[in-house]
Amino acid sequence: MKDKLTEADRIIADLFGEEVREAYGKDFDRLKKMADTRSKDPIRPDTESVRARARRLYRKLALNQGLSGMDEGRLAVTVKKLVMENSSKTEIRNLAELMRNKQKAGAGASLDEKERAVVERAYHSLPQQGMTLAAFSRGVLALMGK
Amino acid sequence: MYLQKKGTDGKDGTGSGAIIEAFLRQIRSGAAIEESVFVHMYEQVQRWFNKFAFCRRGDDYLDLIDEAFTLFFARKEHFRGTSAGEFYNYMKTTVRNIIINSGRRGGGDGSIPEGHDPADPQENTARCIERNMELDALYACIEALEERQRVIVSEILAGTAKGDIARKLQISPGMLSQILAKAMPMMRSCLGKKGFTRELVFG
Repeated sequence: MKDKLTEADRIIADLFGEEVREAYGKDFDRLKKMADTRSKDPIRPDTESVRARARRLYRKLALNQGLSGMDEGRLAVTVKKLVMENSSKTEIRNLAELMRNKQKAGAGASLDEKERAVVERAYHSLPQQGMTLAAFSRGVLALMGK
Repeated sequence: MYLQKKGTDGKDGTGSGAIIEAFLRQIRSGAAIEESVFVHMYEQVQRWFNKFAFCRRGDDYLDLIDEAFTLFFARKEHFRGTSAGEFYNYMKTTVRNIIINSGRRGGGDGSIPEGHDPADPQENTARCIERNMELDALYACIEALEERQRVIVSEILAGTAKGDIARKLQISPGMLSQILAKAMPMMRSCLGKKGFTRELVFG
């Protein structure tokens, strides 16, 4: 670096770290030391606390349940796509018929035991989609509500 | 070459860009997200911003990261990005907004101004009321770069390997270095215009 080092260089070294070592050559370590001193003691939680927090948030957001975290509209679109793609399967045809009948009857957004069994069989006939049965059922209900 | 070849997250020797992009693909597909992938993402994001966000305690800082992720998942349909750099920028903006909003929440009578959405209606936990104005100025300078420079710089900050960036942009590594070589003096000059011109004196 031919120019004199300024506050701007310290800030750049602070954000980019090792990425700019080559650009500053022998000055990099001095810049970095100055940047670290000026950084007002940045918070650096220990690795275990960070991982424990991450696992807690993972459970809280139920990210292991894939599509179950989706909103109803997107679930309905996904279920519709699955039904159309797998319409040759008996279980899916039965589900499509159930949905048509429910829509015609203007029935409320709930399923009785027999209807739930139809939904469950349809769900199990589908290829693995990373979607839980609960999410699939919500998608079916959302689709019938449209 | 101004920005040194790196391509790792500096911890385990694994480029983080590919893992971030796999995470974004999982989200778009609606598939379940593996816990190990999420933990890696969380660790990465908290490393990205620990100098940008100043909090009183380590727990406050992790509250901030929790809140940023909660917001991201609540609005994931609105995130159209596919690259690690785009995710970096999205999370940086989110973290910045939470910090600003938490400052507002902590000030005055604690009420939220009319027409202003709280950062996270479910949580409102972050208490990071100070921020690094210098890095904020540098982020503004990065925003002012030409698009290609900005994309490359964002990917570098996200930890994507330079080889991967070059492949994705369909340019040679030499061209990538040239673009970066032009970006750095521009960031420096931009910071200079913002008043960061004082000459450094080393002890």
